Amino acid sequence: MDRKPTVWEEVAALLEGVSALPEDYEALQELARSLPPDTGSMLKGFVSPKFMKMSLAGLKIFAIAFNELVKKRAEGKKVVFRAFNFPPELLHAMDVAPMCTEAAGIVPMMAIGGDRFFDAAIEAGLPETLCSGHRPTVGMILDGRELQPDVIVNAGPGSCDANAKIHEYMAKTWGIPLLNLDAPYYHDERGLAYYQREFRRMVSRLEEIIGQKMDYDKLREVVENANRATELMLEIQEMKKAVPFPLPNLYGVMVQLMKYVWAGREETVTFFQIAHDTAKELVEKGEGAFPNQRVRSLWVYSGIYYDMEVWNWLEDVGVIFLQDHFGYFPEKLIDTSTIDTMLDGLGERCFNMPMTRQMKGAWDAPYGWAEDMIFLARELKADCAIFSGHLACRQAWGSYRLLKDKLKSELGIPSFRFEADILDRRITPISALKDKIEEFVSTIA
Amino acid sequence: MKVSEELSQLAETLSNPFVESWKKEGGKIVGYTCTYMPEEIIYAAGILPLRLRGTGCVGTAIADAYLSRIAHCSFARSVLELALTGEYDFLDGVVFTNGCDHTRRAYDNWRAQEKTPSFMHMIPVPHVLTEDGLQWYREEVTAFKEHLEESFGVEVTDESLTKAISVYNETRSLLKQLYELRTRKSPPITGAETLKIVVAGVSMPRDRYNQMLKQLLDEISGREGISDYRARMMIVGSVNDDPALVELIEDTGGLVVADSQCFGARLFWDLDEETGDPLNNITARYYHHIPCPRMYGEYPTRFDFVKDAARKADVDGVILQTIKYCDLHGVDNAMLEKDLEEEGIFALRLEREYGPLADMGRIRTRVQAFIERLEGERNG
Repeated sequence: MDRKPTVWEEVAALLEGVSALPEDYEALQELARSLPPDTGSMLKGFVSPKFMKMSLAGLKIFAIAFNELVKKRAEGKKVVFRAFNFPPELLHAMDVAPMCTEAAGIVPMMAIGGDRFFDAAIEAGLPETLCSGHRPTVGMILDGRELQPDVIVNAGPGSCDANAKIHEYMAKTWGIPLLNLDAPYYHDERGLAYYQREFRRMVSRLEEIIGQKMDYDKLREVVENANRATELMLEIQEMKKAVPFPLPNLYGVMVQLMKYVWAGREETVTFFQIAHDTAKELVEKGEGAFPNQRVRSLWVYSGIYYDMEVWNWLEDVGVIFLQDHFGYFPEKLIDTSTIDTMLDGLGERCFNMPMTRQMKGAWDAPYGWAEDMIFLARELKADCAIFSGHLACRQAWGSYRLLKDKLKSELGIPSFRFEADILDRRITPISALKDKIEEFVSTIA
Repeated sequence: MKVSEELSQLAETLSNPFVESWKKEGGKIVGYTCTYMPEEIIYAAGILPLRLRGTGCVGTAIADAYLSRIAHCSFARSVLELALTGEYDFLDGVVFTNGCDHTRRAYDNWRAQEKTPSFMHMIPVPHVLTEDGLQWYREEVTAFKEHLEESFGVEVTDESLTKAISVYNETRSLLKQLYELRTRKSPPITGAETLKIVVAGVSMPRDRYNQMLKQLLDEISGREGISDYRARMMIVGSVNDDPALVELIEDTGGLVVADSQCFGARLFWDLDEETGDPLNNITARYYHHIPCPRMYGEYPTRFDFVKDAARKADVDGVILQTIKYCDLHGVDNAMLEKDLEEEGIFALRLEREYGPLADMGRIRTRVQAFIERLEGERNG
């Protein structure tokens, strides 16, 4: 190959090697030491020493997703970008290369570094205050390192201006079709019906654009896989109520990877099965996933992802990451009996994806952010809430104060807020963040 | 006092003699944000619609406890600050739209306070232009009308809506005449004065405004016209009700002769249909008016509007201003800059803060540099 490999190709090659590792933490550490610092750190961060099987099953998803993307692209298949809050099941049932816009930038950033990609988007005129969830993807493509998509499914309208706007920018900049999916303000029957009609309209338009009718047998297969994963995930969610906590902190991160990148695929079912069996065994034995569990923390917005090693560090200092809002999927099984039930079921799933479910309406609306976080804090017996104040999130910052007061008045639990960019390590040093978390924990533990 | 002076003064304060007189006579006032809020409904209810502004806000210490200095635009924070400090206590009600993430969270935080106006309403507007979206919006506008009727004990009839359409269309036509005058080689009015006139319209009773607007057009038709400018400018971008920003541009040698802003052309450019069901006509007009960047997939319409207005007014350059943290205009302006420059229309992207929080020295320097660029381009 004469040309320089794309970022995706680099990442696919790198992750393929990692996912073939034996379940041996020492070997993995050895490998991490031999890799460039960012890559090694990501590798260590995505592995929980006592839960190698689960960790490698999760890491494997990265490798498969990026490899498949590269392979399908080489075969001339259409690349379809869609935001994290659009369920990938639908696209896995089509002969396309689907990619989560955020993952397309964030994963390479984690794997091979490259702060410059954040800046490349700014150099192109985008505001520096725009969400870093999207800037690296745009930066990589503008930087000429990446293959651009052929069509974009935009599930941002209504739930996040920045998300919606960046997808509009990408489509316009690259002259490709943009399919908007508008989330209504209300989470009720009328809102759902509106959204399901939007969803169906999007499916029709997508079929037209890629010149391919949906293969409904394939869709049924994918949705059945998704249902199996959902059943396992919901059972795991129940087991999270256990004291001591039966899952490594990393689970709360990996569940997002499964849902956002690879929902509907067999490998995701495998991951959830491993996580399920692991948690079940620990619950039955009355054991926790790690010792000295001091504080059960609910991260009401997001985790932080610019230093993946923080999740294992939190375990070291006795902090349980119950989950964050981005890892909450209160979904139903989808009826696969007809095309209509599958499409409406996926539409409803999309309606309940993080951000879309909680942020499209008022802060205190039914199924809104406050209601869901109060529910989770109560259900999971949280001792405290942690708000990773992602600088770009107008929605969360705009209702955090109200949520914090509600958590205190209704459940009596304290909240800790910090200011950071959840992806850009140049904003808040991880050392400073760790100090703050330890100080907070010491006051409540 | 000349009518131009009388109208211009209204932009300087939240309340004004017209508002005070309205209240004194027992009239109700409902504040609102956004050009997707159909004013005709409030007018037809016999209530004074008054557009919310952050005018007079000198700091946002209280609002910042709810919104954030590091994440939210200073317009939303200023409006919330004025609300939380009682400056908007003269309002009988408030209506917001989900225009952007900043303002709708400002609404949430206002509504969550113990002391609020007795009438608070949110009109959710779809973010895409579809038949289904129009139907949704129609239902929301109807719900708003009914809530207003119930809360204030009034009836909004087809007749009152038809009259409102007529009055509002008259405003729009008069403002378009005013904007037409600005396209002259020697416009009779500055950009700053124009903005004040536009702001006055959303800050006083509409019938009286229309009378004064007609007088204003008569008054300025006799003016000599401004010709001592260095560059003709268009201003585009985030919410801007602050004449100081335009004055700064004009003090630097520019003359603002066109705009695409929600306190500007986007507010009044489109007319209501006058035949047929009035509520349908109002709904359709507001849904399809020159789109805000919150309407996804509608960038080509916005760009065409800016390009056409720039050409018609023969501008030398376009200032694309964004309030810090405004994702909608921030991203749109990045696209506009590229596309305008490709069309041979020079553009300057400018990040700013709202109103009195603005960093005027820096902005002045940027505008000066832009004007020098435009002069350089003109002189070859």
